[in-house]
Amino acid sequence: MVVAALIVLYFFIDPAQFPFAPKCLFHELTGYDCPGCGSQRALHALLHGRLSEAWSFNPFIFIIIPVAVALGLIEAGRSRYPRIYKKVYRPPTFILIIILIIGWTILRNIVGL
Amino acid sequence: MKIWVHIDGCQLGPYTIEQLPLMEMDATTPVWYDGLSHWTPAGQAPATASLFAPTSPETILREEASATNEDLEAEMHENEAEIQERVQDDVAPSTTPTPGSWTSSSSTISYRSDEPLPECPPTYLIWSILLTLCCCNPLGLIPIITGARVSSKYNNMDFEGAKRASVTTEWWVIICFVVGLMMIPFNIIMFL
Repeated sequence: MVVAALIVLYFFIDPAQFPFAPKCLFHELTGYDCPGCGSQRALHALLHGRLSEAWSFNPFIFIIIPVAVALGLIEAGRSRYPRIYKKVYRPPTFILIIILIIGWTILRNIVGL
Repeated sequence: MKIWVHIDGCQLGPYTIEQLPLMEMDATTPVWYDGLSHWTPAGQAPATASLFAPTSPETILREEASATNEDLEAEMHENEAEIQERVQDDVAPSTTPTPGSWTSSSSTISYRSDEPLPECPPTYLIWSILLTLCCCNPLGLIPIITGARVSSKYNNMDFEGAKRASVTTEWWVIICFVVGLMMIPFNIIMFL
């Protein structure tokens, strides 16, 4: 429900022009890009089918959205396939996600993606 | 004979003795069947010890049986579903199923309860990821870390600890969400 509402919202609102879209406090305070910076604009572009534009705003969402969808499906199917859930929801998965996010943050601030 | 096994923090079964060689288990995997007073490593339980004798033809059996693996897998899923239904029926009257206590030492592993294991408490992983990215909020990393603690504690049979870590994670998710919401008025002020 919430996810669907957000998708509709980001379809109609261009965060680059709309003043009330949440801005990144991290970016305002430090000047560095956080892992999510650009994801709202990227989502907006993505929902309008502008793939390359979305990529230029935040390429990371092309990794993390499929991951989040997969995790959601596994969690939803937990009672039917408990073994898959047990296999995926283990500490290494969490650590991998943390490394991905931190690694991406460092990378984007060095390379300037 | 119906045999339950305990693999990767997950209670599975019931299986027949013929099915056990297909499982990813070894002599230390806890098993239980009617007649055992507690969970016992497969190598020490009378009924399964022969499967895990040093010269066990386990691996050969495994290869031979690989053809029927898929059928068995399907059957296992059915069995699991049955068990879960039964569990829910059993558990329903009492509000909180008390987990039995695992005592684990080098030689013996015992689970002093015939009840199935409690489910892993929620880790809120997806919410943490979404909060980290959508709210542009480095705080979102904290619930991912505490969520990792939930699953590591659960895998170490520390069910109470996992439950506590789950509650902690839930609170961090709420905190991150509130901080994200609080940023909106900030934005408006900065914009004016």
